[in-house]
Amino acid sequence: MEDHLMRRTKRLKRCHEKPVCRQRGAPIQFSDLPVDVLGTILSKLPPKEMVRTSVLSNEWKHIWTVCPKLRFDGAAMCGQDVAGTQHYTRKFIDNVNGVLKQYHGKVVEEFGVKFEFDAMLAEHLDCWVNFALSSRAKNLALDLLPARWGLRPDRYRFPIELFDGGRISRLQHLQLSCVSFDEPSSQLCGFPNLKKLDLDVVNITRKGLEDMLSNCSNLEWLSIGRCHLDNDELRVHRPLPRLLYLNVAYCAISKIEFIAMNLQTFVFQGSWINFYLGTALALKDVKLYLIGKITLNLAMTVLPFLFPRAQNMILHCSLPLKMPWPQGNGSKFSLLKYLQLKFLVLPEDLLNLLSLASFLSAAPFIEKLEIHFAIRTLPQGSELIRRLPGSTYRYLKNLSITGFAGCTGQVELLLHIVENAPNLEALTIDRANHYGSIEEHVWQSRSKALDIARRHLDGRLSENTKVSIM
Amino acid sequence: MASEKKVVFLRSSDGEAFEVSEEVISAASVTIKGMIDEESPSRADTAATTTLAIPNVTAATLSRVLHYVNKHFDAAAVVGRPDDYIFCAPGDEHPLARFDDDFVDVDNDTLIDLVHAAEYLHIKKLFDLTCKAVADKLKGRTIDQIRETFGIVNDYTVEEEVEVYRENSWAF
Repeated sequence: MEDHLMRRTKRLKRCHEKPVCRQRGAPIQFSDLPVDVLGTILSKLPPKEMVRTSVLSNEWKHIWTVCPKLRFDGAAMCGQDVAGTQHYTRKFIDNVNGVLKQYHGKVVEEFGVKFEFDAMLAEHLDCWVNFALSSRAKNLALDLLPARWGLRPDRYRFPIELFDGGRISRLQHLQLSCVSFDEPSSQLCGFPNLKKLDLDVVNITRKGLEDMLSNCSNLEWLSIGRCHLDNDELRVHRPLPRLLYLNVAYCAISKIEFIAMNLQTFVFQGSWINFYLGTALALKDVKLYLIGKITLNLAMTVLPFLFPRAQNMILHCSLPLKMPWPQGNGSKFSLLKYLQLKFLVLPEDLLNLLSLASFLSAAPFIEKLEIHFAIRTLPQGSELIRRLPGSTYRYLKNLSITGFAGCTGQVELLLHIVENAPNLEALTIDRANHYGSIEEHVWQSRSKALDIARRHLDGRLSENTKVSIM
Repeated sequence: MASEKKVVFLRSSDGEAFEVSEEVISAASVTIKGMIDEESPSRADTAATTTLAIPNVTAATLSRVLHYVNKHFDAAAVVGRPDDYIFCAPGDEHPLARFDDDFVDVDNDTLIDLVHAAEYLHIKKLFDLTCKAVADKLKGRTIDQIRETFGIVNDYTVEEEVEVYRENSWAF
């Protein structure tokens, strides 16, 4: 940092002495720009193009060698060769070492390697990580995912011993894919100044992960993907007061517990598990992509309790429905303005779709509702439309339904919402996608579905509602 | 309320003064924050507004820079954290991405002036954005095209050139 500041001061002085005046309309005069600015510009190029600039002229030979960002991507650097072969790995190693040999910069802010891991790479990776750390790296990314998964793909052992005090405290962003941590040891002490941590397919024990996270008290962004903890619970006891974004995806974990009082966004992908996020009162964006079934009852009881102050929610699931709709325990999403529901409709639920209105009654201030149906059924011309006593959804301004197949359950839901939303400004209905049927047949059933929608809506919409039926 | 907000004036190299909220410009520019901090002891006892000279930036460039700064750093107007990009989920577009694209869609001279200004004023986000925009002008071009477009003269001897190619052969 000191070096950096000194260099800055020098340059600023020079700027004072030599005000920039150039003739308008001339081509870009790169020579006006200081070398480290040029280095920064070159660092925004793909690595190959960056290195190519060395042949422009003598002056340009070394400019790229001070750029503050080094990313080595196997596909981009050894493109013509067959990935996975020894030759390919060898070539990658030589190329990276060749670049590092020429490198002159004092500070590498960002250092990244993206290559299919191969045991041959391990000792070189250790050297490269060491190089990055001694070059004061702030961002380190090791993406070592294999293109194809073998039975037990080799993983790179993370060289935690290289991360001593000064180096570890400079790190701000760390991204690791297909890396493994040794059994928990006292060395795994966390990253005190880390702001962003992205772990994907990382071998780590429950205790190792808990210890690491407990000692990353400055984390702002955290993603844990495909890190299997053998269905154990993940409990981070120390608060993460700066955490704003949390993503947990496809981990074999049975429960997660964080104390993240300032969390704003929570994203979860996988089977439903127990969440505990402390009193996350700032949590306003919630995205849940659930595999397997949760019941409507569970959704209506637990979600408002877990995310009481959510403003925007995306919920993708397959949800067995029940009529009459469950009333939950009376807890509400009192701030929810936007809800996106996407779900697979089970054949036995075709007549129960009206019960989805329970989301609306749990969200009295909702303004925008999107429902995406994955549904397989034919249009039905039934005139027997059930109606439920409903509250008025007076804040609802925008309703969008895609996957509209024209079945009675969908018509009931549509009419229920439209008749109880006096201030609706926009209504969009999109047809269902039928897969694998004969084209003409599909077209017929689509237009029939939309005809059904039009017929039922006739006279029920205020003239202020903009309707688009596609 | 608005009158209570502190403002500073920035005087461009060609003598035009621009008003900007002290809070906003301090969050954006390390250089100006430094100037304000230096001034502050003497300001405490006078009610006069500060005018800071920005000798390296013309009025045309400065007004563009301030447009950017007000868009990105005014907490009331936007999300406005210096590194707010990290909170976008993968695949989400940053709310100001469109604005940024339009902002750097300018002629070469203007762009280089912006790089200089961002560098001098030490506004990291703007510096990164403008450097990226310059890099985009280099991207996908052959060596000869780059030389031609940017007036770079190849002063290598044949032997030297061969050597440079050899050293970085993987990149060609």
